[in-house]
Amino acid sequence: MTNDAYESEYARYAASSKGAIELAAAAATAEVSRLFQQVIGLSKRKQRDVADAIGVSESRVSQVLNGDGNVNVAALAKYARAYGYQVRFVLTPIDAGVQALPEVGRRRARRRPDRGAGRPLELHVNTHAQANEFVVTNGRPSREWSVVRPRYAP
Amino acid sequence: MHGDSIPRTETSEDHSTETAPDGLALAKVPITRKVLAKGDWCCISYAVRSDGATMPAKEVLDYLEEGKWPEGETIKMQVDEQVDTYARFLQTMQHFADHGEGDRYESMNGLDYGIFEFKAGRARIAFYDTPGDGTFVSKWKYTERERSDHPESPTWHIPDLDEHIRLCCGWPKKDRLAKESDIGFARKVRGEDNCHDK
Repeated sequence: MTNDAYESEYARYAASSKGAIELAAAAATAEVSRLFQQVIGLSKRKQRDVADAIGVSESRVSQVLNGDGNVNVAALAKYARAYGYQVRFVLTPIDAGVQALPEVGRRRARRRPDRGAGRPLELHVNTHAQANEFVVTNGRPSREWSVVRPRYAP
Repeated sequence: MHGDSIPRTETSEDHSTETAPDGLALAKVPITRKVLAKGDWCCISYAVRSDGATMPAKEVLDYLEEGKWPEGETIKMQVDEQVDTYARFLQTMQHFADHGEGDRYESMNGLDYGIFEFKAGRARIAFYDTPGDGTFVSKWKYTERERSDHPESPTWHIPDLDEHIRLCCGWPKKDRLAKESDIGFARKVRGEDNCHDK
């Protein structure tokens, strides 16, 4: 499509792959700055104390909070924590066909060994033994198998 | 009344018609403005000089998009920074067009005589607002949050502006305050642009 086919320069730029990426960066930068402005408005912590906690100059803190300084992810987390906040990242699908990310951070559900309650008794005949052995497994790991020897031997 | 402003209607000198050497009046050539951002709140387009073609602000933004802004190079703006600045301008301006306010305090400022500016990194784009009928009212920024019509807004210092925003010109930030010459040029472009709407 030609430039004139778009209703605005913004629409034209956003429709390009490069423009979409650059605009995403600009929007994220603005959002971080906006969040920090909210933090400053609510927090009673002085910039001097935050600077000391992070180990940077007060002017650097001011620069970051005003959105004038580039800050990497680690530094972002430090500033947030210094003000008493935790950073969480959420990636939301925006293009067609892009899947939502599975939730991370949940603890894996432990598969506890079944102690036999409610399960049928399983018996296996160990034909390799000198005498017939009956091994009770009941679905448990082999280390928990019970060997049952009959009172009489054939 | 907008905050600290004194409502008055200022119109630039009327350039709508010119007289040809034989005394005949020349018809005004209608212009089509290039739109940068359109939203529910307002439309942001480029101011056009009296020649009907020159758009000083568009020249700046075109250079920034390509990373080849000559004035930016005077303050050592690298290509990446220029491209990043272009995207930040567009993002801020679209946000303003949608919401009628800047996305954060530092994204906008009020200068003098009804000239405002969008800010992105070390670049500035000056603009004015108009109802689109060839007039404008010089509004001024609020200096006290309590007196703002929108104290809760990130850009509480910016008064409510008219539905047409015209980008006049741009410059790199070199000093703490904007130069009088840059503001003066923005006012000149405003006057010329406004005539096209009469």
